[in-house]
Amino acid sequence: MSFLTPLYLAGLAAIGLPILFHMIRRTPKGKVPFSTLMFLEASPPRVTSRSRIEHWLLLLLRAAALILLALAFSRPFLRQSEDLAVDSKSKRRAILVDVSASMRREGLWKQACEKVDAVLKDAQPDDSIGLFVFDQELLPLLSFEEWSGLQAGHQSAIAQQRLKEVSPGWLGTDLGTILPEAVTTALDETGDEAVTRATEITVITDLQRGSRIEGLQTFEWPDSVTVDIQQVEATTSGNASVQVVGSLDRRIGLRARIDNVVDSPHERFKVEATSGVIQEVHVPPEQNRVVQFKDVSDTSQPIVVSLSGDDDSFDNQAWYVKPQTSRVPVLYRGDGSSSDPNELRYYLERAFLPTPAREIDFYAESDGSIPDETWMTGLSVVAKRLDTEQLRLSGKAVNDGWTLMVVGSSIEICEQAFEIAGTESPDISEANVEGYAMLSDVDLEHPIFQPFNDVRLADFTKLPIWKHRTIEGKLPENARVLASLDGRRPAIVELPHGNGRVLLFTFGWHDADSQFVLWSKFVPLMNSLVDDFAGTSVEPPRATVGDRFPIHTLAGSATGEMTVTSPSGLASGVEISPSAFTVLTEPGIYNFAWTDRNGPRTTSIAANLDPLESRTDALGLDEIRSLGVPLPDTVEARLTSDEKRQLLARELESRQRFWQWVILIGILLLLVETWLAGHLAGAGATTTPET
Amino acid sequence: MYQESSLDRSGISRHADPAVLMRIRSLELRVKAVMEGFFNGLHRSPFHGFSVEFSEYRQYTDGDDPRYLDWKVAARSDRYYIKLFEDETNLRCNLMVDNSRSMSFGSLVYTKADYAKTLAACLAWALIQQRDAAGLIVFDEEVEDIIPARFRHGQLRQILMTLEKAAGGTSTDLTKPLEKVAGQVRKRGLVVLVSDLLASIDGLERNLGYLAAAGHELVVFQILDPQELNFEFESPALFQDLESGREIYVDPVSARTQYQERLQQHLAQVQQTCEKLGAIYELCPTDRPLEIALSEFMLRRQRMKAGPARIPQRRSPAGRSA
Repeated sequence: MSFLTPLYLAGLAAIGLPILFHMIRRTPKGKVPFSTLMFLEASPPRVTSRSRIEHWLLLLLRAAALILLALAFSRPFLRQSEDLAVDSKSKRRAILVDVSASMRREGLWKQACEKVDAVLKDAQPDDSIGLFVFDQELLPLLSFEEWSGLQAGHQSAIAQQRLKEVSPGWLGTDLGTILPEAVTTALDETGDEAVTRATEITVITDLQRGSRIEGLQTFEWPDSVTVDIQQVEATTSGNASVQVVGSLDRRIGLRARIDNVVDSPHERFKVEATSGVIQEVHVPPEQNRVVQFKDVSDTSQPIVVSLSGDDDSFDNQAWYVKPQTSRVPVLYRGDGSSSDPNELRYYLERAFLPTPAREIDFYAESDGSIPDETWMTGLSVVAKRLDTEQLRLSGKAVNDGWTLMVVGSSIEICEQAFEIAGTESPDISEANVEGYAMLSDVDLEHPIFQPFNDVRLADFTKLPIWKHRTIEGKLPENARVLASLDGRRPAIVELPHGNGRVLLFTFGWHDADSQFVLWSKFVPLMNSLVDDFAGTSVEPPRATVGDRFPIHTLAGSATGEMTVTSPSGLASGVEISPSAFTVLTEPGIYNFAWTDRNGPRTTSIAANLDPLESRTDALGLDEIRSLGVPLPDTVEARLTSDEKRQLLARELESRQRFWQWVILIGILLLLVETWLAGHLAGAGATTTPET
Repeated sequence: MYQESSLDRSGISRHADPAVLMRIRSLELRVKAVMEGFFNGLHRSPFHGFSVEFSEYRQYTDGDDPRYLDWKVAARSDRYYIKLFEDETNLRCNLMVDNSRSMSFGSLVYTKADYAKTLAACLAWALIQQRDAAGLIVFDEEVEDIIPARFRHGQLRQILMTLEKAAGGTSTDLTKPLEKVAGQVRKRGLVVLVSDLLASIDGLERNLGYLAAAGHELVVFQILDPQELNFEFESPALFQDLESGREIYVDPVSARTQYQERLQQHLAQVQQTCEKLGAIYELCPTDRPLEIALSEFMLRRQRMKAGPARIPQRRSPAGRSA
């Protein structure tokens, strides 16, 4: 029998009190009724000593109640060997070491390695340990299985050796994903043992604010898992970072944002773009400022923006590559002048808008300035009947990669589309429209309708179509209906042919047929077509270190191998395919080189650090705990072995809870005592006459 | 114990021993036992009671109440006359008897309440015997019973029956009963307060003052048990307040001096108040024979020059004062 709070046993001395009260007590017995107490005051009790005990049973009951009370307060428990073994029971420990970019700060990695050494040293011989590093992903350095397979005594040395081989990278931190993944990994490997064996996840990290801990909120932690976060503390506190904002603009140049962390001792920084012009900027802690570099507006070379004046340099550079502007020819085969609002050309010419990524060269057949379709690819709009030669050339152009839109304002023009696409035209007839028809069943998944794939934008009912053609027969197998008219009659049909495609519109765009060109979605749709064709989007691709960059977005329909050169000069070849990607592992300029039908091509993208990684002020453990992470009490974590033993004793005691029974017996004894005392007092009162 | 000499030369008490007297169960018999002996020696009634007296006749005029027509005169003289009377000049006495729980204390074989009731009954008997109007107000915190002062057949019996009711009151509070009496008893007369007055006397002066100001003659009998006066308890005990039920531990030996000092102070205050208001104050320890208490009171009353003004009032049948 042991006691959790043995000091309370001193309360046993209180058993002297009933004896004392019994021997020395107030003399009076009973009451004297008196008319008024207004002239009386309570007298101090007159005590007299008695030399013999009158009610042994009463005395014993009172003493026993006090003994039990003292016992209950001293919290008795039994030390059972199997319970005590809990502490010595082996654990599974997953040691997770942060190798994100923020760990590049001075001294952090060294601290992390020391902590790993300490954890390994503390480990019990039976412990099963797995060593992992993490940033956005969890990578095993030494798995549990491997640990178990190694000879005892060598395990720690090998783990340390493996750790020496790695160093912090450039990726961001994603604790919200990593911790649940680590738990799953540890439990998976635990197998049946998981039921009985405690699992501890030791995370050695700088726990910077940008660790993406939000994901932890939804994770349901298994009972057997505890997480021990060992924080490495930076010696520096003032970190500022720089990021490029938006894209290079002729008017405003390049903009860069300087962020300063909370509690930074630095407020004045110097920012420098490639050109060498240095700007001074004042950024108070926890604020940011945007600076402009107008002098770099014309450069087509990659730009590096550098920051100086803070303590940590890992995030002091930002890269920017001006997207290459591609020129997209749009060829209009139809009638009308560019200044007549009654003509389709008037609207078409004005529908294509240039973006930083691409510019439009508009050609109209009626102007006589048609480019040679064989040495380039582009978009063409056919709004008239073509002759045989034109049909042949168009078919070839589509085969080479052109996108050809056929405005089917008549049955004949519609039939041309199939001819250009090299398929047999189905039966096409003039539709009998009552009132007007509307677009329906729009294939919003198709790239040209992708911009409208939003509930707020997907309303296609505002386009009234009064006249259209109906494709009666069966469409070719490779044809894709992008939109239908009432009665599921095709309205927009995509006919792939070779490298290009034909888009057939079964209604005219203007005048008698519909108000397509006046429709609010006309301009976005035309530009979407151009972007889909040219592979350009309005926003230049922004790449962050850690991204899996899909290379087909650069290569388009090209095939073969693409050479990727990393900022550090490491070149690697990647086979071009829709699923091929390259992981951007370091910040800087990545160069891509490949060959398409137009010959060798190169492009560059800038990979910048995850901006969250620059938020280096440390999170508190309470914030982690508030997300439900089963962290041990911070006090407990720093306990000595004696204190741990005490803690264990407390746990045992709280499990056994003998005090409750002791209290219960005590209460019962007191009840008996009360009854007995009442009984004795009653008996005494009947024999003692009142004064 | 009451030390006043009440023995005659032969050493035999002239008065009935209260302890013996109180054994008589019937209050009526008890009163008779006291009063018959008591009046034997008195030559003059202590009370000024007079019969209703005829004043004069007045000729009947329209509008007069025909009840007051003197038919005999009408038969005799064939004239209609209205009888006019002198107002009743009998003494109106209201006996206020404290029936609070503190009155149930008694270290003798009887309680203060027994003593007070007997005293009040004796006074009522004497009054009725003299054809004076006697009324009774039994009170504790509130007025429990009230019998208006009248002289009529059965009044004494009613008073005695009311007095015989057991003491079942609560605490003593003179304020409300005195206020009520001041409000109800309009006609001047005698107000006899029989109480232990073991309560705060804050309101006593004010309320007795109302009665005095209304022209009432005031008599205060303070009934106290010998133990209350002397506090001769020996052993320490828990003393329980009969009224509030509060209990305190008291060692009488050490508390006695202080108790007596405080009691005397209280009695002095009561007496002072009574004197100030011209009231007759009589302290009655319950071991004192009732006759002595009564005779002392009578003597004092006779000695008092300034009794309540008893100005005869004329009452007309139509309620008009002549």
